[in-house]
Amino acid sequence: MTFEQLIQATPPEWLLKSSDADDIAIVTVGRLVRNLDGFPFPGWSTADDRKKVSEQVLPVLRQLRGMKNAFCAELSDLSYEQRRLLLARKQLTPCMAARQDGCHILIPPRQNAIYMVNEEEHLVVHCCQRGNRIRDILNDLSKIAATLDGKLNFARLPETGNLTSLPSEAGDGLQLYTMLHLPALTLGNMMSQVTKALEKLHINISPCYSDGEDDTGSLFILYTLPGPIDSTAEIAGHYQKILRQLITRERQVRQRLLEDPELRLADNVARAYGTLRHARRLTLRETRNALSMLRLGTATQVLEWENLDPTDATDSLKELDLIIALTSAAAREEEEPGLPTARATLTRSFLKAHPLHFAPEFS
Amino acid sequence: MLRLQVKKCHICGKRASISLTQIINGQISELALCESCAKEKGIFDPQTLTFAEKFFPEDIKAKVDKIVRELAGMQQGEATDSAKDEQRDLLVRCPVCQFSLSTHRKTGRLGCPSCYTVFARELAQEAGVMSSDTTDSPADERTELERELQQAIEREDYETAAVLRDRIRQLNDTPHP
Repeated sequence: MTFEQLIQATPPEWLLKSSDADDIAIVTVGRLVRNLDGFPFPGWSTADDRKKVSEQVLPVLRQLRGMKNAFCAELSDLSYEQRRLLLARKQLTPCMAARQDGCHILIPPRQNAIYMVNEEEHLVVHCCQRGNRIRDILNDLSKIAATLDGKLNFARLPETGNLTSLPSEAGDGLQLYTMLHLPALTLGNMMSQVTKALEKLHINISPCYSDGEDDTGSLFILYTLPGPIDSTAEIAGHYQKILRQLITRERQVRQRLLEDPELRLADNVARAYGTLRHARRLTLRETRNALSMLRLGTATQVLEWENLDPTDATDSLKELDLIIALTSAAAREEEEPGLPTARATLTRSFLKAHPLHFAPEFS
Repeated sequence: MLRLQVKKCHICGKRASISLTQIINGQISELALCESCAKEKGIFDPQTLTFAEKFFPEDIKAKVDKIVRELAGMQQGEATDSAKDEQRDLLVRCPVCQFSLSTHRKTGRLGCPSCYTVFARELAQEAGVMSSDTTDSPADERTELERELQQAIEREDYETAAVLRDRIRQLNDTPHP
């Protein structure tokens, strides 16, 4: 599969579809890391070392189930724009995007997993699922780990577990990440409280697109730190429980905002809708913030779709979000003066094709 | 502004594989490093800098600025650290990958799986400091930290001592229930 075929193929379900319940948990990623014994870690290795690691790992990965016709590329063969596109599709990590010779990426045709050779560790596997389907991710990763563990000589110590370039991350070699849309908690200025509370529970949360001034698009990444040996089941259970509580809390705050007699939620949603519906130029930050409010408005039924089923509409918004991200990834703002106009045209066309009206109590 | 040129390494004098020029508040700072010194200073993969610069220009600028400012002091400090480690009979460099203990202390990372065995003593000490962070009672934790601080001072491990001192200050600043 070539890069063009990968980009033109139907995007994977996790990238386009929303979770079953709502738009709060957008996508969950399980990250499995392993290092080969006898080789320097990628950050400390030479191009020759990395090549030797790739020569051992790539043939084994190619034999995995579902890898026939997989997309495989050495990072030095991918252009800056191609890497930006993969980053926007969440199919490449920022660390990997900066790599060159001897570093490879493999994506099977189903695009349910991403295999990176010589990222921060010799082998990094990302398994992705829409929503918060943690059990599915753990099942997929445990199958992959069981197959690979029998075929490659990974670096392990009995008391430490899988060895990683950061000693604090040695152990089970597994981390979980979930992208969350938390506009109500953001509007209610509650994110700093949430962050502090989560720290005490050994779970971390950070803004997804923070630009240093504001939390762009109210999107956050909730993540576990890698756990010690034999802790995966316990950590995953703890993580899932916290994730559910966070989703419930966001829903409760949404409800409270809806009951606000000052109509602040409706006002924010109306302003965002007006911007997306009529603006002629939109910055990426403005677009992300307005789309976040639009999502909140439709999820709380302040706004109602005229010709779309709510589930299809949530998926369509996710698709619009992806198109905006891909368009923005193709060029840098300062290098492409037409980008703000193109963004505004995209959102106007989308909302013209899928009109919305305010619910009677907010009109 | 950041641009690439070819010069001599500011640390070892060998041919530099990378040279960085940046302008901060109107002042020009220059830094030229060979590949091994760049790794030593935490710029792990000089070949990726042009790309990394596009993605994370602020991070790279901050890192280079820090290296430029601290270069002289760090060289002196490293020499002192290594001498102390040798006195303490610790292995200061992994014989398999040549990763040094001082680089581990600066970056928190290791060079290869063998480093876990080579630097086992250092890692055990760090794990000890980290596990003391989770002690239940603040009074017990303070006593334990003070004991470790005393030990660190006795063995002239001032880096660990500074971490312990800061943790004790934090505990003292925390209001008692």
